[in-house]
Amino acid sequence: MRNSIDRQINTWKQKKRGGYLLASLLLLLALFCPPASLKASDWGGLQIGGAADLIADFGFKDANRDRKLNVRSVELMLYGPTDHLFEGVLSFAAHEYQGEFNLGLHEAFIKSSRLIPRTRFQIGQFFLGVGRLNALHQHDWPFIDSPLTQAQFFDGEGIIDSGLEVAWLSPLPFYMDLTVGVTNGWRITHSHGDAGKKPSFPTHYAKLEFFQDLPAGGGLLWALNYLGRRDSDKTWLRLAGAHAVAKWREANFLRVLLQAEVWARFLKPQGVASENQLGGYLYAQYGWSPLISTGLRFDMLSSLSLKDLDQKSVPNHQMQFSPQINFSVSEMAVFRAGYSYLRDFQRGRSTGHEHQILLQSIFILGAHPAHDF
Amino acid sequence: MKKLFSTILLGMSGLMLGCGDERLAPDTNEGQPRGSETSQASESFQVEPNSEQTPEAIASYKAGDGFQFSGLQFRLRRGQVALTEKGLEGTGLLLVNGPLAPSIYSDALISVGFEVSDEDSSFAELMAFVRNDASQGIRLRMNSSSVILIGPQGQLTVVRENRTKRELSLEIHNSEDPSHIILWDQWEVGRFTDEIFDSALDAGPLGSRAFGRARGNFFGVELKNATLTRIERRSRIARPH
Repeated sequence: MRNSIDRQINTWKQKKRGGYLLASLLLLLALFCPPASLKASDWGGLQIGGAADLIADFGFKDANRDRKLNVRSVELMLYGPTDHLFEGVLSFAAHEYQGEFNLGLHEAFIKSSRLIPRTRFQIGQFFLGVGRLNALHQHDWPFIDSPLTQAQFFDGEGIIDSGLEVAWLSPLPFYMDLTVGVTNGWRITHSHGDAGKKPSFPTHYAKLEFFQDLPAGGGLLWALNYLGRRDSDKTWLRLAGAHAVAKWREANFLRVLLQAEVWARFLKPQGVASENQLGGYLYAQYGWSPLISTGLRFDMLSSLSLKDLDQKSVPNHQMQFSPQINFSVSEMAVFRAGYSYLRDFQRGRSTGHEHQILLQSIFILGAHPAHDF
Repeated sequence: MKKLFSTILLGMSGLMLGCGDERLAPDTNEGQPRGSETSQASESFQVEPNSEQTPEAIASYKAGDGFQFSGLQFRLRRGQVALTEKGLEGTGLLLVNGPLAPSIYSDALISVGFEVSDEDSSFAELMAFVRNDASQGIRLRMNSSSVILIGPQGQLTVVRENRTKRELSLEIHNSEDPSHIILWDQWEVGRFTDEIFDSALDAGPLGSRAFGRARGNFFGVELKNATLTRIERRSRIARPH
C-alpha cells in the first residue's frame, strides 16, 4: 500500500517548485521580450533556444515490451553577453519521472575570455569540462543512449556541479589547451530531494586537449582527463581517462565520425576493499549522404576488483553493441532508429542479456551555441 | 525385441527425468555449460544426502553447502533448507556466490518469489548490496501480514496486507546517495509499470535519506520457515536515470 498522502504532498511540492521556476522563467522572458515599438533592438545580444529529446525504447523481455514514446527531456537555454567583458548562460531542463516533468536548473554561469590573455573562465553551475560526453548536453550526443561508462561513472547524462573552471590555450606552435576546475562536490550523482553532504575534499578535475589535422581534410581532437573527489565518508573517487574525436567532412556534411572514450575509475572507501573499473566505448559513423548516416557503437565495462564470497577474483565484463541509422536535414532536427544488445559475463560465462529497439527524435528551436569540434 | 524396447523405454525415462525440473539444471539459456558448473561445484563443496530428507524434498542442504537454484550459485551460510517442488524451503541464510553488480555504487533489479506460513515468526527476506557477512545492505522482508524495507539507517513498512504468497521486484539505485529504492509487487516490471513504493516519493518525513546507502555488493535471501519459489537478477534496471 503506498503512502499516498505523502506522495501527493511530495508531488505537489515538486509541482510548486517547478511552477515557481517556470513563472520566473516566463518573467525573465517577458522582461527581455521587447514591445512592438522596439522590434529593431537586438535584445542586447541575448540568444534563446530550446531543445526537446523524444525517445521510445522497446525491450523484448517481460514488461519492457510495453514501452511508449516518451519525452526524455526538454531544455530551454538563454545565453548572451552581459557587457563587453562577460557572457552569461542559463539553461533549464525538464526530465520526466513517473509521468511528471520535473523542471530544474541545469546550468547557470558567467564566463569570460577577455580578461586574461589566452584564458577562459566560468563561474557558476555547469557540466564539468572533462571528458567528451560529459561536457555536452545529451541532445548533442551522436547516439541515442548512454554508453556503459557514462551511465556508470557519470550519472547517465553528465556530472553537473557549481564552481570555477579555467581553461588556458598554450602559446605552443601546436594546439594544446589545459582546463582545470574545482567545484563544491556535495553531490557527484543525482539524488532525489537531497542536497548532498559536504565532501572532505571537493571535486577537482583537469583536461589536457590537443588537436591535429588529418589527411584528406580530417581533424583529430584528443584529450587526457582526470577527476577526483573525497566524499563525506572519506571515500576517494578518482577517474582517469582519454577521449578522441576524428572527423572528415565533405562539402556541407559529416562523412566520417570516429569517437571513443576510455575511463578507469578507482574507488577507495574507508575500511573496505578498493574498487577499480575500466571501460569505454568506440563509435563509428559514416555519412552516406547529407541526410542519412549509419553508426555503430561498441561498449565495454569491466570491474577489475570483483570478488566472490571466498574472496576469489571474479573475471567479468559487460558488452553492448548498438547499431543505428540517422536521418537529419540539419543539426537542428535529427531522427534516429537503433538497436541495443547488452550481455553480461562472469567467469567467462554469460549471466544475462537484454536487447531493445530505440527510436529517437531531437529538435532544436531558436539559437544554439556553436558546437565544439 | 523386448530387450531393445526396454532399453528405449529406460533411455526415454532418463531423458525426461533429466529435463524435468529447470531449477535442478543450470540455466542453459544463460550459456552456462552444465559440465563446468558440476565440476566447479564438486571442487568447492560436497553435497551429501541428508538422512532426515523429507519424502517431498528433492535435495537438502546444510550450512556450508553450495548449490544452484534459479540459475544462481548459492552458498548456505547458516541453517538448513530443502529443495522441493515449490522451491527452497526451510530456515537459513543464503548468499549468491558472486557479485550483484559491477560496483557497490551500481544499480540492480532483482525479482523474487516468496511463500511464508501464517505463523508470526515466519518471514522471507531478500537482501541486496550486502557485504559478505550479510550486513550493510538493503533488505526486503515479507511476512504473512506486511512487507518491510530495511536499510542501514532506517526501515519502513510499505505494505500491510495478509498474504502468504508474493512475487516482488526490487530495484536499487545504489549509484545514488542515498540509495534510491523502487518496489513492485509483481515479477515482470518495466519503466511504466506502477510501483508500490518509490523512496524518492514515498519515504515520508525523513525523505529519501530514510534508508541510507548500501555498502556491499552481494545479494541473497534469508528464510525463516518460508520458501523461495524463484529469483532472478536482471541485466538492465527498469528505470534508468
